[in-house]
Amino acid sequence: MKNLKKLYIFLIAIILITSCNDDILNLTNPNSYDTGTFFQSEEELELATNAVYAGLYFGGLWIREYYFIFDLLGNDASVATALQGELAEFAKYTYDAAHGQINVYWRSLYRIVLRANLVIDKGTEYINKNGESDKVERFMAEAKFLRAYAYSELVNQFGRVPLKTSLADLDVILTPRSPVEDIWNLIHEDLDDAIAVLPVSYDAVNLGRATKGAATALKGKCYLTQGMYTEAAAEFAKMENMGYDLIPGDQWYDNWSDEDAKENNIESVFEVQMKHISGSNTWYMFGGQEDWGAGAAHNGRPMEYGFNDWQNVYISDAAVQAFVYDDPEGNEYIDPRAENTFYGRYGLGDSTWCDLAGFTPEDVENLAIDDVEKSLGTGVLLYNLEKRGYRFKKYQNYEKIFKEELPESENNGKVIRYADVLLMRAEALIMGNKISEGMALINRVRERVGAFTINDVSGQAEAMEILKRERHLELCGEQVRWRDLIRWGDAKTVLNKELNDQYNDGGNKVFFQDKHVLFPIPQSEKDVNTVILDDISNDWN
Amino acid sequence: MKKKQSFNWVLSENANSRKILLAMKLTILLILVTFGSLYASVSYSQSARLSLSLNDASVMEVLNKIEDESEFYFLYNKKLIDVERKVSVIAENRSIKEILDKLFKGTDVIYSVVDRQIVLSDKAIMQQGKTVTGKVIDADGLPLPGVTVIIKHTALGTVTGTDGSYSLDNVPEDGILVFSFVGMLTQEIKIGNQSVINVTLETNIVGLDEVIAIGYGTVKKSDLTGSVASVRSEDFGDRGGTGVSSLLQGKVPGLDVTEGKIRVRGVTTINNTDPLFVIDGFIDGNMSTVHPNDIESIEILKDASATAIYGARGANGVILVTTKKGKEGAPEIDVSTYYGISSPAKRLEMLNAQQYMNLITDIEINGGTTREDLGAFSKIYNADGTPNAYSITQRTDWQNEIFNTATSEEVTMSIRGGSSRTSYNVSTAYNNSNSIQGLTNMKNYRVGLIGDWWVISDKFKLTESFRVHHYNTNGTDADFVGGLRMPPYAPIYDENAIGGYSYVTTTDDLNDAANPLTGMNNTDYYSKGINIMAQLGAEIHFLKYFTFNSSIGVTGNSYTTNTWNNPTQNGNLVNPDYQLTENFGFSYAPRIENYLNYNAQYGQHEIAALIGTTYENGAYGRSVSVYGKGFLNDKVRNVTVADESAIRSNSGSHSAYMSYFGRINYVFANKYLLTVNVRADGSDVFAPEYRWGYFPSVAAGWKINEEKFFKSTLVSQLKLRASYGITGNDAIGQYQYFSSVHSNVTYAFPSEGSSTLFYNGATINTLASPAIRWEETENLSFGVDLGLFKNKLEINADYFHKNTYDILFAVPQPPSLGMGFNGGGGNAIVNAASVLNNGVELNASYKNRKGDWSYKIQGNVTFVKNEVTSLGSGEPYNAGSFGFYSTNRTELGHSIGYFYGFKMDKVYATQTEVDADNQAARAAAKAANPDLTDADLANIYYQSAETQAGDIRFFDLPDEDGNFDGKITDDDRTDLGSPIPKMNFGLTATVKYKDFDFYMSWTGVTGNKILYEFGYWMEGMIRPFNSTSNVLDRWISESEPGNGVIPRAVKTDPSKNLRMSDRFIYDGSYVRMNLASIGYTIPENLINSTFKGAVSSARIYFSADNLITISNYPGYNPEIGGDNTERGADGGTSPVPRTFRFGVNVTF
Repeated sequence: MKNLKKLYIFLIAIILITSCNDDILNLTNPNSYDTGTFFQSEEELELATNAVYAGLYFGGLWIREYYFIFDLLGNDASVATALQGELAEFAKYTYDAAHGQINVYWRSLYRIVLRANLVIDKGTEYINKNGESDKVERFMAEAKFLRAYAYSELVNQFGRVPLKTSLADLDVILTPRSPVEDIWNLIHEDLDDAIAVLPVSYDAVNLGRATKGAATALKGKCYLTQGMYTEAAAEFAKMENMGYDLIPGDQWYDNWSDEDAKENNIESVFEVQMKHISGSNTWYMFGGQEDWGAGAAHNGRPMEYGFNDWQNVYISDAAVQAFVYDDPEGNEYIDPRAENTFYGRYGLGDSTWCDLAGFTPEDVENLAIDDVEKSLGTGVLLYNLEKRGYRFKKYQNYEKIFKEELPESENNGKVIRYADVLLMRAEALIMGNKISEGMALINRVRERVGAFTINDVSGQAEAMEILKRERHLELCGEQVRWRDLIRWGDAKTVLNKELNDQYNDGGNKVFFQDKHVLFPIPQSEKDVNTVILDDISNDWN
Repeated sequence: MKKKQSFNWVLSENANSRKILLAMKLTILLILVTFGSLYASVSYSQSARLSLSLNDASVMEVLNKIEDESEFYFLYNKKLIDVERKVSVIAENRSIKEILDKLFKGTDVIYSVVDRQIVLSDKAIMQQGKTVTGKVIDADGLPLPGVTVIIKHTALGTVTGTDGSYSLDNVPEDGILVFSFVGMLTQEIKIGNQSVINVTLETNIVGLDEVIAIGYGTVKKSDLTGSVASVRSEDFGDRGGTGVSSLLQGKVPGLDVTEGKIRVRGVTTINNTDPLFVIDGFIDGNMSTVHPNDIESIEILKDASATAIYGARGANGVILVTTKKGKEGAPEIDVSTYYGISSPAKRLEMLNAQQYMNLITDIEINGGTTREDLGAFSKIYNADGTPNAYSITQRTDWQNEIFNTATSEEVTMSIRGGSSRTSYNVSTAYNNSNSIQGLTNMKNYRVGLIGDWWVISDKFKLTESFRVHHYNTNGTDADFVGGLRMPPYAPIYDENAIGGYSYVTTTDDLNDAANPLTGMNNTDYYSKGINIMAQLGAEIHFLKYFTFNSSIGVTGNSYTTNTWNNPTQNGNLVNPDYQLTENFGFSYAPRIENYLNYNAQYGQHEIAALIGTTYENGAYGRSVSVYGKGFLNDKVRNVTVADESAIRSNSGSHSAYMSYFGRINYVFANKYLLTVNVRADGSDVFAPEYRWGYFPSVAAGWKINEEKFFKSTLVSQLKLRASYGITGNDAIGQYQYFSSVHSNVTYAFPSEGSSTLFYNGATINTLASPAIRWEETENLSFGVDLGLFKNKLEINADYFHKNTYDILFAVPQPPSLGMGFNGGGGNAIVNAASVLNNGVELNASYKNRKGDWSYKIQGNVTFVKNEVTSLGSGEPYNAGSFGFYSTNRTELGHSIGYFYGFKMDKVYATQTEVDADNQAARAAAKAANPDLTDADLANIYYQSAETQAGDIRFFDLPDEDGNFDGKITDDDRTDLGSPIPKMNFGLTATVKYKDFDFYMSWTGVTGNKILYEFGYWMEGMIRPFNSTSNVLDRWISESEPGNGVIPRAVKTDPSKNLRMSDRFIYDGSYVRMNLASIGYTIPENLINSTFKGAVSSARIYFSADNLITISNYPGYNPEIGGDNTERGADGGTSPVPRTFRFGVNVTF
């Protein structure tokens, strides 16, 4: 019985010991750092900066949907029957506020804004606490460039949008739309800050980050969009001294290569860096960025567009036809860029679709493909236009591989390249009535590819027509045409004509309506941020 | 006094040993060794035979000799017993009783045998105790063997023999004898001066005085103040599944059991409404370790009074599971087995190849594709764009390939028994079942070792429970949601395809549906793991009124899942490489619980009080997921030999919990009942200043039938109950009160010279919620219990009013905040809303026995009304997705997660109808704004510019002021009904006739809507996928307008026919007979003559699951689950299996 008493005492002791202290309830997350204590060193701020760039991979942006959305909207690409589902709605402007890709595009841009705000706020805190730091200032400048990029997309496609400029704005769930002036002002402030800090170029380790040139080009592009031609031209002119140039004409096609050596060349101003990561999920372009396990950074474009892969789009009839125009003598002229822009009929696009370097003629014979496409004994495959139609060659890798097989391509996304800058500058000059200066830049772009130069123009209107065609040809399939057409005020006339010609035997159906100048404000935003509901007309914008 | 153990009973030739031998043959799986000592204790005193031959020995020598020769040991006081007395004993194969009678003949020494312990005492000293004998019979006068007779508040007692008689020594005159037997009303009889006590036990027809588990204790059902429902094992029926939810569905009022989810008394929160499981006192025990055959009863605690003792953890109701324990007596060996065959209870009607080609051609042509374009798809079209001979040839009924007939089997076995000092239950279960929807095979093994021992004295009991569940799942199911979309012309196999199965692509077939057989047959999947639940407890009785309980327990699991993919080609996707994904993890959660009970009776006052603590610290787990791609072959499946490999995730978990609780039950004069509870919980999910929650409750009851003024022959029981209390909920993830860095971020800066170096990033994707605090539910409940006709008819009615406030919920945030992942998420948890649930529960059961017939019918019905009474920011939340549209909405003044969308009017039969609507819209616009020009008006449409004949006309709904704007806008979306049933009901009936028994259970709901989300694909009309045959009634032309419900087939859906609308909303009512069985118990005399006592009973049965479902729903299964905010959306609910089983139950 004595033992029992000892046992009782022991058990009561256990109760007392186990029931006293609730410190056991203070737990830290074993899987993640605490934001309360993170982002306080240069290294941690660098990680935060990298994460802003990673936002460029998100849905609606450069991994997958961006090229579909804007190539289809601008009618550079047209829908192939194989493209089933919602993306096809962009081709004929039947989308509405609930459209998935519009919602995702908006969400992804704001995610870049948030990540940039984090770097800017925490960077400011760091400098206030630890004094100046070149590195941290550069991180903040990179973040401001990317924030400006995100807002420039938002203001272009949606007009007035909620403006979020710091982490403190996170406390405000319901945010009304700001006037476009405020958004442009923030973009310009950010770009001024970025231009002041960012270097002209980086060492090999930091290659691919935003440069002074990238920020300058974006600023010029914004001025151009705003119709501030003098400012735009001045901004683009600053890039003369930053080491940019056009790569040689015989290497023009290298601009869309997947090879490291050819990417980030002297013509590239800002690229989204793509790479296949060992162990990553092949299919994450369908929306798994950052939440399907190991990170990934490849894109799906060559697979999606490829005529020997998913064949989801053609190059549009209008784009193909644009490559044939009259030379100064009034003869039909085929622009030399045609053969590297798309595959198709000889004399217009490329007649071969694959040199199959390294393949023997016997290898070619053994490829499982239509006989008509094999040029017997030569080791060359002919492009079967009848069967395949006109398809993009830009960004495709068929000069090296027979089939893409998987959407794991490494072709960087070209956000801005120098040819685009030169043509934007030409536009700014022409619109500012400096026509000959503008034409000189157009000719510089043309000369590079061996196209004839254009010396006599009757005036601003003709110069603009030439500029518009030049942008169409040089930048076809690079997601710039939609914004160009909207900026020029041509979208309704040009697109409706092109689409009627292609789909409606030249009828006059209204595909593009006035409202399509802007995207509808996404349903997912309206559903929650209800203060903007009264600020939207006709369920659109 | 220590004794060596003997197993001679195993070898002897009595009936017991035959039983055991037979059992041994059948129970090779059972690991009996550790429990051998328990078996040895069975009625040893009766079976042991001794041979002694001692001359002129002292009594002490004789006793020592007996101890040496047997397992008996003696307890006596040398001062009282003369052990030096010389005696001679010669005995041949005698029982201990005979020997001792002889040994002490003529002395004052008396003895009592309790198991192996023999207490010697002096008659004179033991005068306060006496021997009581008697006989126990049932109402029919038949002797009742096996009735437990114990002296109340002691462990002393015996069991009646085969003739129902018993004899109990050393019974104090002020003692009380308690007679108890399963299925009989327990009787207590004061001994007084009686020495013969004969008892007639009444059959416990109504179970009124069942003892009900209430958490940290038990209470007589008649003394309950709270709302507690009880389901006993005999009500389970001859079930097939092993989930608790299937045992409870339709059996308990106030319970909404849908697709495995149990909700108690309404949808109280947006968040997590899963109730708390307590298994034999083990909080949050691992239910997978308990096989239903091991369950004795399940109690469902519903109101605050009942659940408050579990405080925060009981906010969603508490389900107490009591498992079967051993009882004193010979081992009872139960063996049950069944074999079943299952097939889907429903099939959909799909298009054949010709019909399919007509549909997809319509979709393309109406969408602007030309016949010439179609002609380019030479696999399925002729050059002129008409379907070719290949594509209109029916090759495969994919539904047939996806679903199949599957078998299942189960063997369970348990051995239960005990002595007056011990009890044990050793059980094993093996279940092997196959899926009706593919290749999944699930094997489950369960072992339970449950025992308790009174040690040292009758004041100290040790209890032990150890349960293990091992599962081994192999193979995967076919995806019918994707697979039914396959073209009917596609063959099953394609030997040229990677992986060997046919595939279709958008480039050849316009259709990229996935062949449902490809992945299934090219995936080697297994999931293996082990779940354990173990508990060791001590129960100490002291100072007469106190009982102290202490227990330490742990749940744990360890698992691996392994997915090996062979190269495949399916739809547009090619997976050219072998791939391996392997996950490993383990976790364990220990907890310590101590509580003190005080039970006393002073005159008419009965008091039961309780205080205690629960302490959980050190719950811990880790997991890792590795991935490899590119293997030489499939011989070695290890990521280290893969070309590419990655660690995809590595994570850990830990958690802690603390609670203090107390309760007082007070009964006055067996009429007035009062219960007061309080519990304090500390949870690690809240910041320190919001960490502790305090949850009180009070309840009262009045047993009117005990009042003197209440005399009724009709009414045998009438009790009123009322309770009020507050419970809490913290069922959200941890670490939300501070914000975590999101670091699974990479960017591919080219970093010259290295092609694999990627730059890591880190950022934020979820806001911290520093001020979140406990979600609380105020719970008011009234009830009445009525018993009629000697409680043959029992009726319970309850009203409840539950007001949940500060609901914890991740409120969707605007995307412009920038939070979350690509797919969404990133919503911070806030105390977001309040919800009111009002309801009424009715339960009635009628039991009777007449001649050879006995029956029991129980029916219940619950009405619940759910309403959101406040929302944090006032803004509604949307959830779910139907294409790009959300499906459900949670909004002030509506029920949680109601369906939100447009209302469909009809399909425009003619273009004239469309034009008329557009003209009206323009007229309305002009009236509202006379300044509009004709050009402006030309851009105004009732729906949209793209709408034409064959498209759906939606209703223009009035705004808040009752005005119509004459066109369809987002504001024309409305409440399309709630997925929460207004009424749940169930019926269970058991009928016995002689040796036959019949059982059936029904369940159903009504007053709810369900969304046929699967219809997005099955009758979507916008993509070239196979569809259900009702699309044959689509609008085709003005002369073939179809049935007015199915719109035209058109690619990209220009008029948005496929927006979220009531086109896909259906009445969710259904009634289902989820189980029916017929059984036959083999008559006792046949058993006895056949098995010669080795088998004590045997029963065979046939049962059927889901034989009848009555519903108007077009999908596979009207029972649609889902989280609270997006409930009722059927994105592809599998057909329920219709299973026929043949089973045998044998008791040895």
